[in-house]
Amino acid sequence: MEKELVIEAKGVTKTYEEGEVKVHALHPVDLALRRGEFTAVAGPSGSGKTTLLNIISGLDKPTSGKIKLAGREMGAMTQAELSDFRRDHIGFIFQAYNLIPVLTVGENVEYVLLLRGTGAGERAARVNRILEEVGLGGKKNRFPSQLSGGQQQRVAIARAMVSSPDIILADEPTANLDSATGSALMDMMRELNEKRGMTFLFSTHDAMIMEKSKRLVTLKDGRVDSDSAADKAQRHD
Amino acid sequence: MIIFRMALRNVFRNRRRSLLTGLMMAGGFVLFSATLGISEGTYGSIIDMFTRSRTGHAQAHAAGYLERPSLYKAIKDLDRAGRVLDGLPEVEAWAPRVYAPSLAFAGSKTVGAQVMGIDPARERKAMRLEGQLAEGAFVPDRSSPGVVISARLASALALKTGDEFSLIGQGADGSIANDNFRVAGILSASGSAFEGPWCLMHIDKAREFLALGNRAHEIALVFTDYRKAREDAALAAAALADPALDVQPWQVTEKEFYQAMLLDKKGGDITNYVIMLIVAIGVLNTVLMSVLERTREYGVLKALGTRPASVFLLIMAEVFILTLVSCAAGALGALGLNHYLAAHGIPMPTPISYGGVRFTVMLSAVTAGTFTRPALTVLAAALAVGVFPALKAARITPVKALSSR
Repeated sequence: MEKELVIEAKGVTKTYEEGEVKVHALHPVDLALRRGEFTAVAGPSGSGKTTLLNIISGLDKPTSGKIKLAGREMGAMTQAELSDFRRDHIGFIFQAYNLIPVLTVGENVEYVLLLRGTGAGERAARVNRILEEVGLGGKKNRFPSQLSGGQQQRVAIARAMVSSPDIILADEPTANLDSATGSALMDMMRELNEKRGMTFLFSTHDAMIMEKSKRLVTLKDGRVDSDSAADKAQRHD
Repeated sequence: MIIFRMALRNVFRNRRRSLLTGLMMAGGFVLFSATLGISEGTYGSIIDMFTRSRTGHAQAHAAGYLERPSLYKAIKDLDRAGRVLDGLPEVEAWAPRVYAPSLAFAGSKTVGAQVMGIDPARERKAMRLEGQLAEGAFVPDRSSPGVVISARLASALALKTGDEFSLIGQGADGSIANDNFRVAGILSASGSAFEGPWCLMHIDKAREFLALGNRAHEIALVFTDYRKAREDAALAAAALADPALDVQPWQVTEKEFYQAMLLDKKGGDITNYVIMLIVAIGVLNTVLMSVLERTREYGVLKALGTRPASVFLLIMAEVFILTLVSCAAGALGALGLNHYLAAHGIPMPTPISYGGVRFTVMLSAVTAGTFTRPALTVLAAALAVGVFPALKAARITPVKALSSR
């Protein structure tokens, strides 16, 4: 039995206007992701990967087309509704980690739970459990500046996962890390994906991520160039 | 709660910048407070100098006398009024007076003179009339022909101490008041509250001269705290409970002086507001810089689902915390400086003499207002200028903020 759809993008386009010049970042793009997928969107710089992720997350609005996330149409949402929606359904992992420097590791992870109004006891339990899972159990009270790049990205992963969102969007998560650390983190995320069934969508141009992903979608000039899931379906046909 | 924790840590994040901004705010506070203290102290001294030279902190008259003085509008039951005033702890001293216009003669010279009958013993407790003497002796303690005249009257009639002159006026019973007097003393020509042609005599002598019986035209009141003149005047009026009596504070009886003082005070306030404006610009610069530097961070907070109102609150909380710490430091500094200025003051380049008092040093007055006004002004200014950067941060578009360096 097929799992439920978490993301459904249909005919999504994005055009930026810079003065009189129009830049078409995305031509009509269709993309569907089911729960538990571990997918990478790959492509060279300027292919539209980050734009697609920004639109899927509600951080940016499409010029046309429709996006459904966790069964809800995002185009009709106000900024406040989008803000609440991101809080409740999406986990983010950024290329530059983007931890809050004045919060400790524990507080950074706890922050999303606080936004969701989770009770103190449950917050503490969840934070401790996820930090153990990402191997930072002993560093709860450290500040981000006291951690290495790899450790900071682990905190970012913990922050993205602690609230068990419907999907985790990771924009070039290994770009700032050395290859060994990046590979270890990918293994860890894949393990978490398999253990918890959490859906991951990466944007990347890192071959290692593409290799470790279960599904690979490539973008070229703002269009879907290839999709391993579609290829597989075709082969089955 | 986490917003306040973040705000607190953000304040100490760029310590040097926070310290400089804090010092600017604390410095503004100290300057504002010291200026206020000196201003309050100086105006206090001026009010004291002015009110104790003749006016008093308040005056009681027969109803309508203040608007249109008349020999016939007199306080009838002075004994009862005196007993009531003696029973009020707020009243430090009081002195009854009678007034009447008259003509003064000496040799071939004639001039209009204002007679003022006083109770020397009571005036000594309430006022500083005696200190305004330039020569001779003050009004004798018992009814006698010995009077004190102003320098202007002495000059107009060419009178010296010991000379005799005559006064003619109208008695309250319709008779012609006519008597001879001897100059016991002459008031100072400069710095005296009696600039016109005044003739001060014992109240009993004045009553006898004017056939006034036991009545008086005015009771000058001195309260324990001049700053409460309005409240205490109302209190005295309520205690006297006589619709035929009108009790007014010095701000009403000496309206012109009071208005001029308020105008002068406004000038001082402008200086303080300029100080606050400079402080506010400093705070605005700091907060704007910090918002600009942390644009990406606000983008992350919003991407994670933080509401714009919480981002706004975060910035305002940072401004509030920094201001609070600065005000506390400023209050400590101001406390020391104001106490020093209250004890030693600032010497005046040109001392002023008025009403028998020589004013040589500008002393500070340390009151709650010298701390609360700067605190509230610094807080209001800082929070007001914090609104713009806070709104800017709250309205940040996450996708743009995340791509900023």
